[in-house]
Amino acid sequence: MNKDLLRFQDDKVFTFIDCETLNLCLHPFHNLPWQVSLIETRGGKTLKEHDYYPNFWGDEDVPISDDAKRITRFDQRRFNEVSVDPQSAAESIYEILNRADYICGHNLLGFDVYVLRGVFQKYGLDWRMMMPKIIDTLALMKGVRLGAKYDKGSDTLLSYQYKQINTIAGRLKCSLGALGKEFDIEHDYDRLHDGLVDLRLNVKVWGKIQYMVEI
Amino acid sequence: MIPLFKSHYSFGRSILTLEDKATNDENSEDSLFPLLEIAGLKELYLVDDHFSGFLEANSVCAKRGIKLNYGLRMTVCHDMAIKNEESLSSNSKVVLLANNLAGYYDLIKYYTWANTDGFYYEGRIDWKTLRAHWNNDNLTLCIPFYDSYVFNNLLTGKVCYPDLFTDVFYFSEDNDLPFDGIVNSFLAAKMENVVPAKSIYYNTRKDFQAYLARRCIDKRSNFDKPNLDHMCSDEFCFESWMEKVSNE
Repeated sequence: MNKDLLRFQDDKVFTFIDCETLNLCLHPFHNLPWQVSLIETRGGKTLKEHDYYPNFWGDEDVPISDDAKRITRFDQRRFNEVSVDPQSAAESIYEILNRADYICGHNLLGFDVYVLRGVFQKYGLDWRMMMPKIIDTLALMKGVRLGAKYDKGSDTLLSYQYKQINTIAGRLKCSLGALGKEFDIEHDYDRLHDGLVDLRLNVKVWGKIQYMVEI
Repeated sequence: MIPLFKSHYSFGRSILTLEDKATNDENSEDSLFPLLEIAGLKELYLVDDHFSGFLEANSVCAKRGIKLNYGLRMTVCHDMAIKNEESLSSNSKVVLLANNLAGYYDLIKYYTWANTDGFYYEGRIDWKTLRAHWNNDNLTLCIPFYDSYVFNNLLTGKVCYPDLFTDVFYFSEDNDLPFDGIVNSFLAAKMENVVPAKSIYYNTRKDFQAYLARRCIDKRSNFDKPNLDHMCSDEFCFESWMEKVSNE
């Protein structure tokens, strides 16, 4: 039994993260997160949940695109009630990720890493500390579907995950919702695209994926 | 650190022109020639994806007494006669730098073959054709940082088997992208002739918006949904290069 495999690392903190943003642009000049949710776990159990609503826009309405507003059910009034200073939110998020052993999420390498990079750069925080810790559940599941085994001798985990993310293949059905249903996970699928709701599903999906990969 | 300029003749990939003007201003496109002046450079490394800029580059450089190092960034594959989806997995980029006028004529030949015999979604040359007509006096073979066989084998599902029939130079860059470190670590550990460089597509970091607009026009997308993978860094600029060389 290889105790180095992730599924046996019960003493490590796996922190899941998800960002809800204005749109799909990857540069902060046009896109910033209005919600950043995190769940810290250890041994498959939730240690703590965090839900930040950084307000980069002051008294102005959040300039969220119509599509993003519809998909995420964004509510300006609610945002006004719960939003916080963006710098303090960024610093708190940074601290949580910095103390994590692994940073997990679905399509982190294709999207959230860039969003977080933009936010951390804004406040002079070194975003590169995230990279060695990334576990992208979309990348790993794509690897399972494509039959691409991870070879520790010839690839770093990050390099392997990038290969999966950058492989274009249709009909893999690797969205979080699709995986949740495939794995018969009980969840509120009608409320997806809310940060914490997505993350709770992500934690459950990771619970299945970690037994499907030799990583 | 070599500044590798790209001009707008690489359609949609740069917003720098080759206009012969003394200074840039806010009301028109930036030319790369005033940037050379600011940096005190007497040589221009121009690496384009398309040949049509060569005449303007050559004439302006000649007029200004600037040495032109002209390079063509081309797609190389395993066998350009094979045209199917599977053959795309061997595609990678190389940069062919002309050392002299004869090298320029060699580039014309390669470019023509790539866009006639080898064309499949884009112009492609293969390694055996490169090797068969290669002359080290005329051309220098360089491996770019992005989309090269090294990059593709490390970070994508492609399988690129290069035939390195001559000495090559590897360009190493750091543009603040999350995966730059993976490629740089590999180059530092495994390769010789690694040369620090920076690809320059626009003047300042503020120009990234204009650059992205151009890329979106090309892609028929928009800022809300650019559909451009990894398009997050505003470091592919002259401003960034100037800062890095000042710190060296």
